[in-house]
Amino acid sequence: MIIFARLLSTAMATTYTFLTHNDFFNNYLIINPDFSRYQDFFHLGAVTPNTTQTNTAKIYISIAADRDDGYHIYFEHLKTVLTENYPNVDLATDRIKGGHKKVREESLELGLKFILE
Amino acid sequence: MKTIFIAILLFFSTYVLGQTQFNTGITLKLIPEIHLGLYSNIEVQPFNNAISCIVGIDGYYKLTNGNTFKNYKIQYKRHYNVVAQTYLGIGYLKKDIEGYDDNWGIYPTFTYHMHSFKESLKNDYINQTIQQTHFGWHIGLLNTFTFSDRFNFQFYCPLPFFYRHTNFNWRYVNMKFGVNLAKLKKSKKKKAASDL
Repeated sequence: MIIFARLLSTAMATTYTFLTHNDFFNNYLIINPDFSRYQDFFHLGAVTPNTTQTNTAKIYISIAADRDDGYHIYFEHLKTVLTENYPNVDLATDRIKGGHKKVREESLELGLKFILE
Repeated sequence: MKTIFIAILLFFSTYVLGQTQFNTGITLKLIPEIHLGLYSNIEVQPFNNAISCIVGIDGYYKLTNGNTFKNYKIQYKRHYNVVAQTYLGIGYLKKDIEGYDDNWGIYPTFTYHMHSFKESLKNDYINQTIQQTHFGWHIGLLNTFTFSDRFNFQFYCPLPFFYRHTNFNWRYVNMKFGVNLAKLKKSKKKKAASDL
């Protein structure tokens, strides 16, 4: 089963689902993660569940290259949390250039390709 | 070869320089955040009719952060956040509106842009700094107005064409307030002549 996020709030919901109940789904698409309003997300890396070592989910995270206001920092932080705490997770990340529609479509395309191949 | 060069020079000095408007001033952007910068551009009418070309450059610096980090315990620091764009357009320039020495022009433009920023985020769990620079292009529409013999106002808005590659983005919408140096020079000459 794949859970994916197109809107900012659903990107956060997807991240939350993975970090707190990571046996719900096998695959995750997270597009433009945004933690600006919920700073507790920065803490989630420290309270990961016991299944971190055995989790083998596939996760694709992408961000629009021109996003400022901290978005790249959320992206980097999420990458760091996943790499450090989930050694067996198959993680792919991208910074995508272009207009909003291109970023959305390309993220979805690349994410599904990564997960389904 | 020498003759061709002289012919080009003559054409340029007669038809191009004689019809050139040089505008410069400040760039202001208010939505969604306040940016301030500089611009300069040249409007040229090479065929001595309403068809006109514009080429220019503008750059602006982000001054405010909007509401993104308001009321949250995140220490956000913006080291810099700069947008620069250079554009080339061909459009329509109407001169001497209603007998006054005013101009009005509209130009579809091809614009190449650069956005660069460096920012830090700090709270109890994170302390990171990131720097990003990216380049791209878009199609835009530039409106120019010259009034009262010297003042120049311009409004620039990107258009949602070629949507796979470009899109409407508030980041590139801006207003420009400045002077038309060609008109300023002309009006000073006029004033000197009338004083005599």
